[in-house]
Amino acid sequence: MSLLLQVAINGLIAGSIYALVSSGFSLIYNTNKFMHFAHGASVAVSGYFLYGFFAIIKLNFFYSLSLTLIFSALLGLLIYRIIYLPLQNRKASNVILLIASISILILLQNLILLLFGANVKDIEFVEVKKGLEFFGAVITLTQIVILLTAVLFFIFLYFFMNKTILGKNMRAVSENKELASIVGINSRKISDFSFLIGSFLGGAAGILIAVEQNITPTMGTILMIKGFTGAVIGGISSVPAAVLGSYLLGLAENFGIVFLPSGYKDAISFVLLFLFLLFRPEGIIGGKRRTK
Amino acid sequence: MPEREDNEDEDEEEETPREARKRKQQKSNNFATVAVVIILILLSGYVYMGVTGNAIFGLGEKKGTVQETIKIGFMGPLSGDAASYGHGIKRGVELALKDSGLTNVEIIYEDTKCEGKEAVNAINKLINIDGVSVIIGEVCSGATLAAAPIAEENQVVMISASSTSPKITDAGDYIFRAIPSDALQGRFAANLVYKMNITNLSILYGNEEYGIGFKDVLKESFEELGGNVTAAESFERGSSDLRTQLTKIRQAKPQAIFIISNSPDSAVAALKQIKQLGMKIKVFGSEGLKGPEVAATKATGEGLIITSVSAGTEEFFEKYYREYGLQPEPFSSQAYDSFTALAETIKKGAKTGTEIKNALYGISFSGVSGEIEFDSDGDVSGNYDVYQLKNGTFVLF
Repeated sequence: MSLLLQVAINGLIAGSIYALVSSGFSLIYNTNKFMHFAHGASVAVSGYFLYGFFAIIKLNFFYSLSLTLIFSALLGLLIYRIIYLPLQNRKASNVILLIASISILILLQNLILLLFGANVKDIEFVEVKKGLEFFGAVITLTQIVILLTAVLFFIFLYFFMNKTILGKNMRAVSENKELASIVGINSRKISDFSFLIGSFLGGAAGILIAVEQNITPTMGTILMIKGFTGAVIGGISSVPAAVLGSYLLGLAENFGIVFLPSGYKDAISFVLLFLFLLFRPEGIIGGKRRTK
Repeated sequence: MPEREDNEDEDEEEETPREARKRKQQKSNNFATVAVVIILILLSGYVYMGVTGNAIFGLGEKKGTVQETIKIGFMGPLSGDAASYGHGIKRGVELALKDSGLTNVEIIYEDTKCEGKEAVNAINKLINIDGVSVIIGEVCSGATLAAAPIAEENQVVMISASSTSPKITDAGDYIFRAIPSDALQGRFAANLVYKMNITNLSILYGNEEYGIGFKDVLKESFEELGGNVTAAESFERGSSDLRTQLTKIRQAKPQAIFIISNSPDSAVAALKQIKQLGMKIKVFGSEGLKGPEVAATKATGEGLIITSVSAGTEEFFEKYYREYGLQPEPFSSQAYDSFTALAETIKKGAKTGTEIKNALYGISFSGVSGEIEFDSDGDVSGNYDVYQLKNGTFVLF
């Protein structure tokens, strides 16, 4: 019993991180209709922003936190303005944008490597000690914060997308860019905001990983694959679906290796990814949305 | 700036309908195919990354113009999560080059990230393009085993300073190493643990050659002694979420856990998560944990006991510190000895791979990491030390 409860907690923590990555990715995908794989690297970069502000410049933790979020959001916007937008203006196809996004991923990872070196970096903000125990399962304070932060962000995101004019415009653009521009929605402004908000969410993921685990230059690639898998499982055409899919992925990975040898952990997510791509590319929720 | 923005707005209005049409066509029917292609591209991106990583580090080939120069290849992780080993070994080699007094030697560095496919690319490049006859490397056992058949086939000598998998013993005539096999370390570690009155052990190991090879020997030897291995869980190298593996180990209620990892990233995460899960057990580790990252964990890793091959003589410590301002890193002393062994053969006039191979089998000297004398499998025997992590430094146990 305590084993399953502990594994459920482990799965939810992993899921929260995947969900933060995939929500930003899916938001950007839906608004702009291309795969921003460099999102993984911006998650890694924000981990290093936090490391830079907190461990090198030695700012107060909460200043570092806010600065990291701001810088991550701005980095996303910068990538869009400097790389994707000029390409779009030259009528580049989505495949070109995709290749560009992978090059940015590689570029950013190597920039981190150059600036910070390959060593594992650990942000020692929270003292490592035994977490709180209930029913035989253990959860640390940081992990509770991770769970709550993720849920809080998703509630905010939901209200933002459904209740604010900007959010509604964003959904309008993602449904039908042509129609949205006819009714006077400036789709470029919407793209700007999608990159700002998406990268902000990615920044939050980077911070949580940095505080909870540790950061390495290449962590972005695997996070991106996991976030992308989560988004595909849930349904890439909707942000809430991507979030749900990511939690499912986190749980599936962790429950899977209770019964399978633990070496299969990554294999589980890849198998799920391929099964969904082959048999249900619209994801768990995606289909329902289309019939509505 | 405002002018440009205006232009861009116009552009966009023109392209919107066209793009929208295109998008409709491309909708989700093709999504699966596109996504599969994307993943393939992404995976090939890994391969590409090796090349760029190299370029940024500026460690690519240095064009040699002097003739009669003997080219020596170097393969190891200079980027990626195992890069700290690669750099430590590189420094060991460079120090040995300096001490050897050889001037007609050129070392060509290739970054392999400790990955098998990168190692295969690198060795093909070193042999076919640079024409080397001897290679120092690989660092990780899996990568060494991936490259070994190619070296063997081309009669190029490979000498590793750090690959400890028992399988390398049978990898071929041209494959040497200046570090003892884990068949020895596994047995040594099993004895160490058992002598501390631990009969119930769990193993957490990296899911690759090094981890699997070490785990098999450790498990077998420990059970031979009369102990019991209650759980053996693996992880992908570099992964930093090991909670469920540790949860399963916690469930097995062992007296101690033995971590076998050559990824500092995963080792640091494991130590942290053992503590977070409230597991109050003795923690042991393989020599892959003896690095600056694990030492820097301070409280998290405090008390960690590791088995390790020799870090080098006192004299080597001083020399290394004078040169780099650093303590010798893991495998630096083995790297120093690897190159010294090669230098000996070169000084004796060996040039081709076969000449160097034959000369290496006849070499015997007392190196900074111990006696260097290759047996018929290209292995050395060696002694192990036991260290404990205390206040952020590894001290002899």
